[in-house]
Amino acid sequence: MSVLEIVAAAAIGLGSLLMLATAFGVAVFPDFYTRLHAAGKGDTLGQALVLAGLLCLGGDLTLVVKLVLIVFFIFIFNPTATHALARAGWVSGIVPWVRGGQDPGAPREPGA
Amino acid sequence: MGFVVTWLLLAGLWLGLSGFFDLIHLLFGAVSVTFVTALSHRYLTAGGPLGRGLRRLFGLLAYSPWLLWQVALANYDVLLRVLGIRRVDPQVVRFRPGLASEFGKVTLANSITLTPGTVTVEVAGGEFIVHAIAPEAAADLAEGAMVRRVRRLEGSA
Amino acid sequence: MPVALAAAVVVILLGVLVLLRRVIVGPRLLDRVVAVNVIGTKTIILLALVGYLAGRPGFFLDIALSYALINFVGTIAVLRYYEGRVRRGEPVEEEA
Repeated sequence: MSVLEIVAAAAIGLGSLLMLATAFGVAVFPDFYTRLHAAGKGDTLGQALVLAGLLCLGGDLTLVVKLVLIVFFIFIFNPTATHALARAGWVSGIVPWVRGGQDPGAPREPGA
Repeated sequence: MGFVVTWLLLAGLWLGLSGFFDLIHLLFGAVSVTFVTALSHRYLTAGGPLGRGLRRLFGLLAYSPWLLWQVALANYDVLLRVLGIRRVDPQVVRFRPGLASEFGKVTLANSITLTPGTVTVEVAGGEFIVHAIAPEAAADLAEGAMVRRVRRLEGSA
Repeated sequence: MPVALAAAVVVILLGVLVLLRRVIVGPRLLDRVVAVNVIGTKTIILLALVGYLAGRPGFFLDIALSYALINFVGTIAVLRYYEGRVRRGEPVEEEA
C-alpha cells in the first residue's frame, strides 16, 4: 500500500464513521429542530471526507471533476435543504423543545 | 453576454464530465448545452449586471476556506453532542444583522446553518430567526464575527 | 483497498438502518422527511463507493451526481407541497 492509499483509507474510514454518528444524532436527538442540526452538519463533512478519500485513489480527469462536483453540490444542497426543512417546521408551528418548559420565542400554536 | 458566458460554463462542464472528444459526442454536447443555455441563461444576470455576479463568485471563493473550517468544527460539535459529551439545550434567537442585499442575507443564512450549533429557521424582511442547539452557540452568534465577514463580502461586491 | 471500501459501505448501511427507524416512528411527517433526506445523501456516497468496488467509478459517479440533484429537488418538492397544505389550513399529519 502506498502512502496515498493509506491516506485514502483513513479518510474513507473517518468519513463513514462521521456519517454513522449523524445517523445516530437524527435517531436520538429530542425534537425536530435538534435532529435537523445533526442532519445538516454531520453529513456534510463525512461525505466530503469519503469523496476526498476516493479522490486520492486517482483516475482520469473526468473522475476528479465528478467527485469535486458532488462535494460542491453537497455543500450547496445540504444547508439549503436544512433551511427549507426548518422553515417548513416553523410555518407549520412545530414548537421547539427546550429543557424544562416552553420556549418564549415559540411562534404560534402547532397547526397539526 | 449572459448567454455566451453561460454557454461557455456549461460547455466546460460537459467536456469535464464526458471525457469523449470524438465528433458525435461533441455534437451531442453542443446541442444539449445550447438547449440548456436557452432555458437558463437569464439566471446568471438575474441579480444585476454580469460583472457583479462574477465578482460575488470570487468573493465567495475567498470566503469559503473559513467556511470549510467552520463546517469541520460543526461536525465535531454534533459528534460530541451525539456522544453526550456536550449538552443539548436548544433555544430560539431573533436578531437583525442589518444586511442590505438578498445575496448577503442568503450567504449569512447558509453560513449560520453550516457553522456549529445554529440553524437558520426563517428570514422575514431583515429579521433572522435562528435555532441554536445550546446557549454557547447562540452567544457566538451574538458576538457577530460572521455578520461582519458577510458585510465585508457584501461591501466588496 | 477493497476491504476499506467494503467496510465503509457496511458502516454507512448501519447508519441507514438507524435512520430507517426514525422514518418509521416519526413522529411527525417532517421528522420522516429529514431522515429520508439524510438516507438520500448517504445513498450518493454508497453509489460512489460501490462504483469503485465494482471497478467502474466513472459510470457510478454519473449516477451519484444525478441522484444528488434528484434527492435535493425531491426534498424541496415535498416541502413545497407540505407548506402549501399548511397555508391552506389542510391537515398535514395522518390521524393517529
